[in-house]
Amino acid sequence: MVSNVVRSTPPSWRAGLMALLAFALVGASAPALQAQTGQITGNVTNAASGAALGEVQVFLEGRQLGTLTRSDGRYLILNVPVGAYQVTAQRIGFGSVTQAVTVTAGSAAAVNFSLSTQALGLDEIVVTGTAGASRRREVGNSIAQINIADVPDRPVSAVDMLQGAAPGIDVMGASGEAGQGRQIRLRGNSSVSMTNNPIIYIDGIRMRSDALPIVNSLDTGSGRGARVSVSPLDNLNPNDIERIEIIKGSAATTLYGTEASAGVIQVFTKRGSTGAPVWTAEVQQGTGWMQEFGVNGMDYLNMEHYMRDALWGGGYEGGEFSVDCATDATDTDNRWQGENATAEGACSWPGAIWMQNYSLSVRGGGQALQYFISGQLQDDQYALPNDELEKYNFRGNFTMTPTDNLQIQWNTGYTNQWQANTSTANNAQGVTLNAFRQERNYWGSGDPTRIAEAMDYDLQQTVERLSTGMTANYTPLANMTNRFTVGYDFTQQEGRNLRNFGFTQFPRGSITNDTYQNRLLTFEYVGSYAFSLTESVGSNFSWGGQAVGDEDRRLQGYGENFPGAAEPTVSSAALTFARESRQKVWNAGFFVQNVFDFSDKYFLTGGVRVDGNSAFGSGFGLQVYPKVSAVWIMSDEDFFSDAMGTFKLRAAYGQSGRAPGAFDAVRTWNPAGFVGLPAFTPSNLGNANLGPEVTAEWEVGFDASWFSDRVNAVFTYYNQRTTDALMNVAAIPSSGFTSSQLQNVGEVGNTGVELQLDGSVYQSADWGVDLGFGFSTNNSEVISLCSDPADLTTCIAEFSDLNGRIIEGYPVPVQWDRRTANPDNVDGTYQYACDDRDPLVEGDYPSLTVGGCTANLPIGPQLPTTFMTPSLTVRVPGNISLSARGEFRGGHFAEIAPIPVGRSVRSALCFPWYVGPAGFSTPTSKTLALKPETPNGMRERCTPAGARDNWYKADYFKLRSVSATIPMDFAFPDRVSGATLTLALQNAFDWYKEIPWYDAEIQGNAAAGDDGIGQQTERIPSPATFRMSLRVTF
Amino acid sequence: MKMTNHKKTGLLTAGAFTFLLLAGCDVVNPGPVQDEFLAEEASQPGLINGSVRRLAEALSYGNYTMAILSREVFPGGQIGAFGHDVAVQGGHVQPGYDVGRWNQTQQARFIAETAIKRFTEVNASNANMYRAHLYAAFAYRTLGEWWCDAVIGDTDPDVTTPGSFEAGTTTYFNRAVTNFTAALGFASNDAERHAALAGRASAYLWLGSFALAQADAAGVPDSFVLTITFDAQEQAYYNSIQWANAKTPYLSYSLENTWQKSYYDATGDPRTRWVVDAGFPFAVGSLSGFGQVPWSNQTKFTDRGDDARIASGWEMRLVEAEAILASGGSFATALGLINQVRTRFNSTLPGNAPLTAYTAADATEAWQWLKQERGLELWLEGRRLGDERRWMATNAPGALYQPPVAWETLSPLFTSNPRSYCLDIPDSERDRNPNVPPTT
Repeated sequence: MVSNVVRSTPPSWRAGLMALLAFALVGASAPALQAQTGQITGNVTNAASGAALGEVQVFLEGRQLGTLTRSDGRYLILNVPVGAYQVTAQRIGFGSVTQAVTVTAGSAAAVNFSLSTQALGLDEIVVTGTAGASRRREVGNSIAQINIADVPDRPVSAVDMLQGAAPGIDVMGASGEAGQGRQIRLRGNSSVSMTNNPIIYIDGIRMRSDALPIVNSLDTGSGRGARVSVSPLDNLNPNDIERIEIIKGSAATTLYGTEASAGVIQVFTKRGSTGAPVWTAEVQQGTGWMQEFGVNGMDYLNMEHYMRDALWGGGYEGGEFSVDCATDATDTDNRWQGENATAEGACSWPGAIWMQNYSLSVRGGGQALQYFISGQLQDDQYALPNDELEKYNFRGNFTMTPTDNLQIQWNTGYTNQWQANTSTANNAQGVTLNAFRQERNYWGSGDPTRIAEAMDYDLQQTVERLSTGMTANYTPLANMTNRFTVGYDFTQQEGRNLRNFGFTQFPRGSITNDTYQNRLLTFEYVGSYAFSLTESVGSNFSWGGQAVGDEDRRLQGYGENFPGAAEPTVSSAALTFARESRQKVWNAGFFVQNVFDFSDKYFLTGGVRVDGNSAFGSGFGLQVYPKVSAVWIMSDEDFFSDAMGTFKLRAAYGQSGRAPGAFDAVRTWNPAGFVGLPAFTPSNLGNANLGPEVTAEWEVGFDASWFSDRVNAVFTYYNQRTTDALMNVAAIPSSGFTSSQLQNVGEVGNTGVELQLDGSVYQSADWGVDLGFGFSTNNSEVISLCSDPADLTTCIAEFSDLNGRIIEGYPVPVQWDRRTANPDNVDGTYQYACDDRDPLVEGDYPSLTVGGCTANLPIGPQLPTTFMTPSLTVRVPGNISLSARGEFRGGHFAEIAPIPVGRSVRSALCFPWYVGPAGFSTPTSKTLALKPETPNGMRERCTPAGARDNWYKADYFKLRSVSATIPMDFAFPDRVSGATLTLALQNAFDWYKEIPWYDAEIQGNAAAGDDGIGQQTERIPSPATFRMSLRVTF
Repeated sequence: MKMTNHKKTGLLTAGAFTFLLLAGCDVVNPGPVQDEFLAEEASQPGLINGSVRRLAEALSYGNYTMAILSREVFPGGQIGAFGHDVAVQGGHVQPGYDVGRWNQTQQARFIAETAIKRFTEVNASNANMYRAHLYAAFAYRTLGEWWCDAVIGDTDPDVTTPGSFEAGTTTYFNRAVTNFTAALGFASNDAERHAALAGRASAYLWLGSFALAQADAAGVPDSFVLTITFDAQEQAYYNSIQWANAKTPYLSYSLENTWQKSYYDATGDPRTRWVVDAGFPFAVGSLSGFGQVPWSNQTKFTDRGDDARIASGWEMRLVEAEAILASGGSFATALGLINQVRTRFNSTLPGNAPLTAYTAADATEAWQWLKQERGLELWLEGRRLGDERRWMATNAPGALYQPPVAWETLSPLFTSNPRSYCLDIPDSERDRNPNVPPTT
């Protein structure tokens, strides 16, 4: 039995492309010979500590010469023509310094720099959420900014960079499949029925933010496949990213209008720089392993048999089992016999993961043209044997300055990602589901060689992304700017889902080819004009508009019943059919904004955006979103002494929206077809007055630094409320229209605080200790929904969505199920909570009328309400940095039930309570008998007729990363300006408050398309990984 | 006056985005069809097909559920996809269960009634009017046979007033009769007339109009068959009886412990032939209180695209027989009709002799053979549970099968809840329709 994974893209062309790129780059960077030249050299240090500063850009103003400092702070600029120059040193987070120098022939001029930190960066330029570029001091809302240079552990994706990066950013869901995307939430869920994904821009153009569709076989709606949903943000090469700006709520996103309620993430890729070409090459190798996720001796819930062959133990490879791991149907494996017995043997470290990442980039240029060109190859093998991922990334960013007042930026990125997956998840033909369920599975057999027949399921996806955009900045006057952006973002995913001829559970064979395309077109214009009203009062008036076209196309072909074992296409099959869907939505709007500047310490901003959207109902019209904000730089006041540090007080209010779907406003019938004939079935009732839901948010906070910028704090309180909330209101079934109709009803809200504290505890030339602590809360609530909110029997039935429920007065969404009232009693039966308050729901929630003791009740919030992200960085002699970063998420509830006890499947969680050898000794035993001393809570979980109440307080902590950054300059000649070795250990430790097994972060059935973490499904968790990266700049 | 560059920029911006705003409101998306196009002549067949599709969807899974509830197949333990709740496997329908079948059948009726109204307004062809009435009638018959109670709305699809609650389903059968009668008025050939007559005969049987039932049934020849179309290309209307037990990978039920399996072993009646597969000894999952269920499979449907009958001439012979027995007619005449149905088959046992004709000494024995023969002739066609309810309501004599099916000793699952003989109106209807009382 050999897994029949066929690569859809042969490696040869990839190698060719890489070679071509390298050739082009080498050609582009050939240094010009200089006749009379000298050198400039020196050191760059941190002014506060005296410590060396690496990765500082040092360049000659007005010349194509420059370099980056090595990790020991040294730099060397060669071939500098004789003459006088201004030399500048700059790095994000530090104030730039310029010094004069004279270079003479054949000698080295020494210029040393001492850079001071700009902890709050009040004069730093930000662009996201502002009309044009603004100084941070003017902006009344919080903006999180992530600089790649500040991320110590060399992340392998942009989403990794966001994980726990700043308060209010929540990256949810992770599991062990190749290419599995994750969900990003900014300040929780603000919508009940529409997407809560933030919109994403890359260099000013919209890119797709929703995960790509899952590729399932079309013969069944139950999802044959791997249920892997690729996140477009994961396609980016993290080494191309300069920084990411994040604005989290409507107080900041008003100028993005409809679709921006869930926040905005803007990725800025690297640009060219003036000076000689600077090359950066990085090689990364990594491995990983599955940590135990089982319980009671079943450490991997039988999945150890199907993990990729471990270097240090047995496992599965190419259809073969190692002796150490394999069992067969007749084996009296003692894990099934004893109550807590374990015999994992050599399989205790299954899943030999191998990750490779190679990247190369060059940046440089002159006054008229600067360039940044990069390429990346990623090649990963995951724990499940069929899981592989290959990704190629190319980027070319060009900055052109044809005239003094015109600059054109043209950025293009291309990604080709191929991945193969093992058949897993809630899938009757998947490995995990059948391994977890053993002999009560879809083979009726726990024999690993039979279950491994699912490895023959061939699942492949190829994702191609092209993102190209041009931004022209025209500055006709010193106080007037015009920016025009046009961009095109194209994503195509081709999924192939093949059960070839002879596949055990589908012997005739079947294939699905699922091609999905998304096109996003962005047009944006922003103009601004600054002028003085009085000597101390300035005004900056901005105006502009934006139009975004979003088009989806999906074509799915299906075939089954192949003539033989050849490599088939859809056309090979005896039975074929196809599906097609396509839709387009345009959103366009214009805005105006004015910033009043009083003595550069008080700022008042007002603005408005007006939007139209093709999905609004015909009776709706345009939507208006206002914004206002105020800033007080308190530390610029006379009464604020220098010893009191820097303090900025800010407040902001704004609105933004979220549009309904393309067809939601119209009464429609679905051309469904029926056995080859045309057919119409009722689709959507329609609502001519359907408009966007509008989220209004206000936030107040401060940015402060104390003790000579050694302690920094950013604090924000926010309160957001979504009115005219779009909710699916169910029709009366006997009326004929049985599907729900989206309506603008109800109101939901979110409140919370965000605090980021960073402290430089100790700094010297050789030693340094930095501490960081992020803390945030998010408390959501359904504010209004029903005329009688206490009457659950009507409210709950009318409005339900996500994987939880929407109930007035409760979180959005709330987990919803039956609870055991006496879980610790041992009286042989379980009773259900039937008073008006579930004992586990914490907080001040309203009383509910329920339908008796067996009725479902709210359990608690589905999404975390409390987040903490501690971090520590220690610098030791040799400029070696050791960093650790963790993340706590809590306050929510999760259902953890990977074993369907309701199907009389034995659950490892119940082993201590089963009578005899794990409940029964033969396959035909009649019952899963429990010991008399079984507590009621476990009796509910372990009895097929119950099989409920697998709810746990889901608080957990994960050590996201422990890393060491080691300068390796000593190993390279001086021409190499920097070399760094990074060792990073990720997700190697976790702690759970209550959850006894499995994983709190694992994806639900809809993968990254979920709007919350729902019922657990049959996957394997994310592995722990260890990676080594060597990065060389020259 | 010469325009400054600044003004030009502003005007260009305003113009460009005004254009885009206007253009944005005029997006045309392919796919869904708006209401006003339905009455167009080219759309008329599609509207009726929509009704048939919904009925096919309802019968696809509904027939399987009815087979479980009426013990035509033995549950394998599978819940969720192509399985049933544990209680339903035990024969008990919880209040509010099976919202999907309710929605589909109601929508089949609604689409057909929409077609009738739209077609009447535009004076559509007799052929289209016939089909609209015929499938409205079959949708009503299904509602009447499967559900315990009715929700009676206006037959005008544009009236949005919520329907009223009715204990029992008499109005559904009355509306079925009305539509079958209307269909007869538009029928243009014998096949169309036979379909309407056969449907109406079965509805009359439920209404106790035995003479009318007998008369309609007599007008339908033995060879007549009307099927609902299932299709291998769309899971919504696969033949779920076949698919739920296909090895792809569902083996959701078994013939183990069924009366039909024992009966086949004894008689070789080809209608109930069953098979096993050594590679798959057990059904998936495990039945509560029973353990793993040895797996065997029916052979009546062998492909997920196999159609199922909704009316036939042979069923009409049994309708005639039942009408005779119910109205106190000659049991010998009735038995003769029953044996006509039965003896057309040869046994699969060695010798392939024709199946043995029933003999009866009195009406009670004739009733018993009628019940058994309907169970054989209409096996796995979604009719058995309704038959049992109808016979219980009229205290029809005679056992359902001989020997009777007794699963109560096999697992507490079959005694822990009372058996159900119809489906409850789902909670989704009860919760949203103020005229329907909540479940008590």
